[in-house]
Amino acid sequence: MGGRSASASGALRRDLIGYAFLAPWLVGFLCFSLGPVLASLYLSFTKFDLLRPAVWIGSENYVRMFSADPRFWQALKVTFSYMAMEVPLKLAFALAVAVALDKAVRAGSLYRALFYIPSLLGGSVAIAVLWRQIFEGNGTLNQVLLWLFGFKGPSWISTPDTALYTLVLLAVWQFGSPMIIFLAGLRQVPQDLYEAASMDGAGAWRQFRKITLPMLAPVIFFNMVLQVIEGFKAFTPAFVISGGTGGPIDSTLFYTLYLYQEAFAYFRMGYASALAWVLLLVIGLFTGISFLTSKYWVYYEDDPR
Amino acid sequence: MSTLNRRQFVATAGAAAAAAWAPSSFAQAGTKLRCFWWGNPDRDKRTRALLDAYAKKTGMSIAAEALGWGDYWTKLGTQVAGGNAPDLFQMDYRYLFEYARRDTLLPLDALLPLPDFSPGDRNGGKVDGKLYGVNLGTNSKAMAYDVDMLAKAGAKTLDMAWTWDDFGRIGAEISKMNPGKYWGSSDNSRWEQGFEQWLNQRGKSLYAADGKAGFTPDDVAGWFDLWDKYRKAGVIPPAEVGATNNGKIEEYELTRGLAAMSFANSNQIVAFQGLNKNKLAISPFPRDKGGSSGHYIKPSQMMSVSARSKAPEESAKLINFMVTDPEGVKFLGIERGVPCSAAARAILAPELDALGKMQIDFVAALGKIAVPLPPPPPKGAGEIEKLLLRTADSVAFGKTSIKDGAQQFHTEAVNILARA
Repeated sequence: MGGRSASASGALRRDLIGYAFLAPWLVGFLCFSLGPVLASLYLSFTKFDLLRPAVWIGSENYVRMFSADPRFWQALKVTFSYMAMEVPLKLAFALAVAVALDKAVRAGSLYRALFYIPSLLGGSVAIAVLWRQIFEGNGTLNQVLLWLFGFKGPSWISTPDTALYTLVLLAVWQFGSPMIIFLAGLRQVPQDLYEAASMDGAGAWRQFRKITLPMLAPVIFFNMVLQVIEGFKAFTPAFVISGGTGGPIDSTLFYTLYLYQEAFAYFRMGYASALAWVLLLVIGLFTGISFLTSKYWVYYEDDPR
Repeated sequence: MSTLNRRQFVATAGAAAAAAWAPSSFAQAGTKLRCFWWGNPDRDKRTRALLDAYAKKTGMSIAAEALGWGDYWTKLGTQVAGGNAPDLFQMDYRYLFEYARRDTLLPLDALLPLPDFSPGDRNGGKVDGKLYGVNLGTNSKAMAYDVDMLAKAGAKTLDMAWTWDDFGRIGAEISKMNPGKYWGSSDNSRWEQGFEQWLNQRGKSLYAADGKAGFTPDDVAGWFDLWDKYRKAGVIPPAEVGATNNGKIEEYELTRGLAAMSFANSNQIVAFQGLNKNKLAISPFPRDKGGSSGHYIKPSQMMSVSARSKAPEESAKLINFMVTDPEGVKFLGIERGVPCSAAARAILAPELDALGKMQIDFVAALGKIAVPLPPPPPKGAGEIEKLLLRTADSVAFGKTSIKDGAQQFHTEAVNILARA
């Protein structure tokens, strides 16, 4: 190849081509996302009701959030309890189905499509309405219970102690996308490991524990980070099922729902912006912790260990 | 000066195109209006029919949009703030002052003289001496009930002065008929308007004229206590039955076939009956023996014009069509309450069904015993409405004691008002 300068200009060209391919996203980000993001940072230090100009109030919004806003803490509590249940359950379920599908090679693609359907539907308003029908007082679940066991449960969706579980169930039901990622991961596990293990007399469970899980660790980690971020962002189901209130008695008041109420029901745009920034920091914190701890439990094949 | 020429050319061509397009007989033709309201299926059908007819008549195009009460204010607020307000939008007494004082509404005094409105009906839409909202119909709060169920419980008609004790007695009687599945009344402890009326009966008001809370923690405790007794006596269902009711007509226990009585607004009887097979009727609220009814007559809904509307005169004419024109009045009927124009009432009277006559008679009868219109709710009132929902539910589910719930509601309400 030519001299130094030729390769440098080649590199420049390569970079430019790269940016050209990035352009649609980049232009969108710079024009439509970056501006509002920065504006929200400014607004988070103001009192702003949309109709009158924003008034600078310093850190008052943040101080209020941590010292005088019980609904902020309630929203955090609801979101964390939701995630503590939803993320592990969903990942475990997705992994179990993926392992089963991986074995059944022939019908694989059909079932894969079938199991993915809930993930396509799950975020929609129609499904949230359906969920309401299933779990209300005279809903499908209670009718089945009555028919099978002769008793009726409470109105699952309007009882504060159980409402959140119905939302967890709705989230777990949408296990499709982690399942697909797990399936792809399973295909990468070298078959000779399993052959060697079965020659040594290891049973299916032992093989799963000693081969599948460690080899899948990076994929599990990846899925977990994605699900945690998704969990923080959950909004639609709670909004539809509780009619936007987060009720009964704030038992389904997701953080994003609270943020929405403050912004668009009570027009406290400044306070809502501050809530959004705290959410961003919390998500960043959790992702950071995941990455820092990952070296202790995630095994990469090219790892020198 | 080529740019000027080009501009002139475009303008002329545009005008020619518009003239060719529009039916020539109407000066307003070609005007585009947007109209936005909160409603229910029945109201939406009526309003769309009216707008279609008016559009056809005048050659205008009118974009119509309707949402439920809760979503409506969110969307309206966002649109107004974004400089994209509809030309005409429905307004509530609760929000009139807030919107008018922020200069988002157009004063209508010169455009709409409304000669046959009574001064009271007209003044209900005034803020600081100027008319910002045109009354689309008057209503009062009411008890909506299932006629047959009450008859079965031995209550043929509810007397104008029936009491809270009567309410408990009749309700318990009804709950006995189909235990655990059907109740005398829905739980109204969570309904802000019910609390307000109960305060009115005691000579108090929810909000004072200075925008501060007009009630004490003891008042709240009294209100929760009243409903706690009904709950324990089985007059109203357990908390979980009503906890999903967020105020849409289809979510009410009366509509869902779970209770025989429900607090409502008198004009809502039209919407309730539209969703109920059983025959419904309205009566005043129960009260203490010998006490005041606490009822007042208010504009059920108003129509306002955006301060930024490009067609203020056309918008005002459309409002006039809604409230006084013989043709327009017939489309809307009395679904939004009793029309203020005497001429409109006269046009509607011969065509009213029993339900319509009942509504008009009801408001007329209450007019004689009504208390004055309370001060307008201050900013933050919408949030306090939701606060009562949560606190009353918490008490109903037994998560909070009546005393703590009352104190909590009062403290948080005062905070909300101070912050708004």
